[in-house]
Amino acid sequence: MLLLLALLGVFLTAIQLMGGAFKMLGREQADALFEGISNPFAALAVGILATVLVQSSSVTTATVVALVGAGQISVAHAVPIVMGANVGTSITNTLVSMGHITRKEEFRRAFAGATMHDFFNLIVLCIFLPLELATGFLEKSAVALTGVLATDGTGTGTFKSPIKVFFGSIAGAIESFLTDGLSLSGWPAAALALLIALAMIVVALLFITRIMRRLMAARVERAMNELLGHRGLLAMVLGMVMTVAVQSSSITTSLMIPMIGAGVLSLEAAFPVTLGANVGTTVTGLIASLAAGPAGLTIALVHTLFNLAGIALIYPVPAFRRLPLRLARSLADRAVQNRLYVLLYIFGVFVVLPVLGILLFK
Amino acid sequence: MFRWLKKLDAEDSGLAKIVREFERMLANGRSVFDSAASAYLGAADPSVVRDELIRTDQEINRLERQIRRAIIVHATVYGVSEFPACLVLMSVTKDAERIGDYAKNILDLATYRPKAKGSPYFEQLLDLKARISKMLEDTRELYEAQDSAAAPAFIEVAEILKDQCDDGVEAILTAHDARNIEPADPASTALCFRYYKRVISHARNIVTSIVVPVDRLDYFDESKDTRDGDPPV
Repeated sequence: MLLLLALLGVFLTAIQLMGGAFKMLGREQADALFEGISNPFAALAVGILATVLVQSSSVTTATVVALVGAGQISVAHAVPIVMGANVGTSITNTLVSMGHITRKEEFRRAFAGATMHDFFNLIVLCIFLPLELATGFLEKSAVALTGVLATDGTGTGTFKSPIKVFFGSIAGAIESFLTDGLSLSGWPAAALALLIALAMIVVALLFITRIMRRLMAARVERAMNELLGHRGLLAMVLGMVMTVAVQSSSITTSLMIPMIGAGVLSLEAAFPVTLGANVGTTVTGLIASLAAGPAGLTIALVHTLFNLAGIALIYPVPAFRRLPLRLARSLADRAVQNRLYVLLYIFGVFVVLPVLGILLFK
Repeated sequence: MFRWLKKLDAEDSGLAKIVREFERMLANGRSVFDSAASAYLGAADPSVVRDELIRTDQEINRLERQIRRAIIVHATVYGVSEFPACLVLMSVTKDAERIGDYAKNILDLATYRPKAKGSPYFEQLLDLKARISKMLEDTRELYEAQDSAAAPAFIEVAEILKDQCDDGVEAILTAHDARNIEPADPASTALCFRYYKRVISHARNIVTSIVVPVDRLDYFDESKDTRDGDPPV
């Protein structure tokens, strides 16, 4: 437990340090660096690609929370990145399903189980990104919620988190070491601080996830066994609880793939768990916002609201609910007949499209 | 919902829970064997015991499927470190399920109303039934305790009983046994000996899992011959 708290401390310090790193860089240079993501499609592509590269939406969203919290990027610019992180994270279970590729029927089920998550996220993205660009409803809702949550009682929404103050002082000490101890300044100091912060985020989340998975193994097993007999909202809650417990939606969704492949878990039963995992994973951003201030909390809430809105739109209507499953089954059927579809799909959605997006829209 | 979520905190989980379900399979296996053999030997009316026996056998089959699912979940969550235990459970569960199947076969024999009591093998079949029933109870206890000290003696007894079953079949087929008497119902008596033997074999397989590695499951004798000198593959 102490180790977990220490890792959480490392994570929150890293969030603060990242914000500080960009301040060290100076406003102009920082603005130039983030100019590319002022286009929402480029920002979306960055979100997908960054998450695919680090194989964790938590790292991407925590970084975005830190940047927004430090005022380096606006909430509006960060929203498409967070949406992109949602899409990028589903590559992990798709890759896990490849382990079944030599057994045809098993692979058909496993690949469909993995890609139903992709299709759900892509459908939700196609609906909510244009809607958000047109109305800003997610941002407005999150700002309103932040006003309620991050308040000191005066209704100003300017609550100074003691957690932020505490970890800010540790991050400040690291920055002082870089500038005074190592006599660095300008972009070298900023780059080193950024690298350290990123490394701290990745390492802290990696170990938190590993430790939580080990600690929670018995509960996860019980949850999975329960899952075999439940569908619907209970399964969704289960997916959310499991993901919060292990701090990774990829673990929750990837654990289901062998069960789907073996045929003991149906797509219909696994689907709500996947949706619950989508919501559960947003808790990492909310934790990061403890050290990032109200703006950081706003973007973390955007992530939560985006996933909740997706579920509210797709899940209650059976025809909508069946759509990601149908698309996934259809793709799996093609993938079984010709493995080229697998390569085209993975590289197309998770690599080629985001790279093209960055090149075209930056 | 909260009660349901609280269930996730229960102590009863993992391999221990799977093993408990497997032990229920064994207890049910003994129950169906006793009923079927009693019916065959005339101590119970087959039409009376049939429904309960079929229900119990279906429960055995349901437990087998439940255990298989639980094994997949367990292996998925815990990974390679638990694979040997999972593979052993997969194998012995099949043995436990087969005991139920053979009990049904014995009941089918009983349904044809053989004149078991008139058979010169009646006493032998009765004695074997009692010993197999005890053996099935011992199987459950040995597995539960993972008693590797008592397992070899059990396996030895199982081999002796299997030989007795084989002898019974051979005697009927050749009709040249010491008594030189035709059994009252030779076909069903031979089949009963054969089904007894299969039940003994499956119980023995389960117990061998206590003392042999995964690759030698079901092959206790061969492993005894080569255990010391056999190089790892």
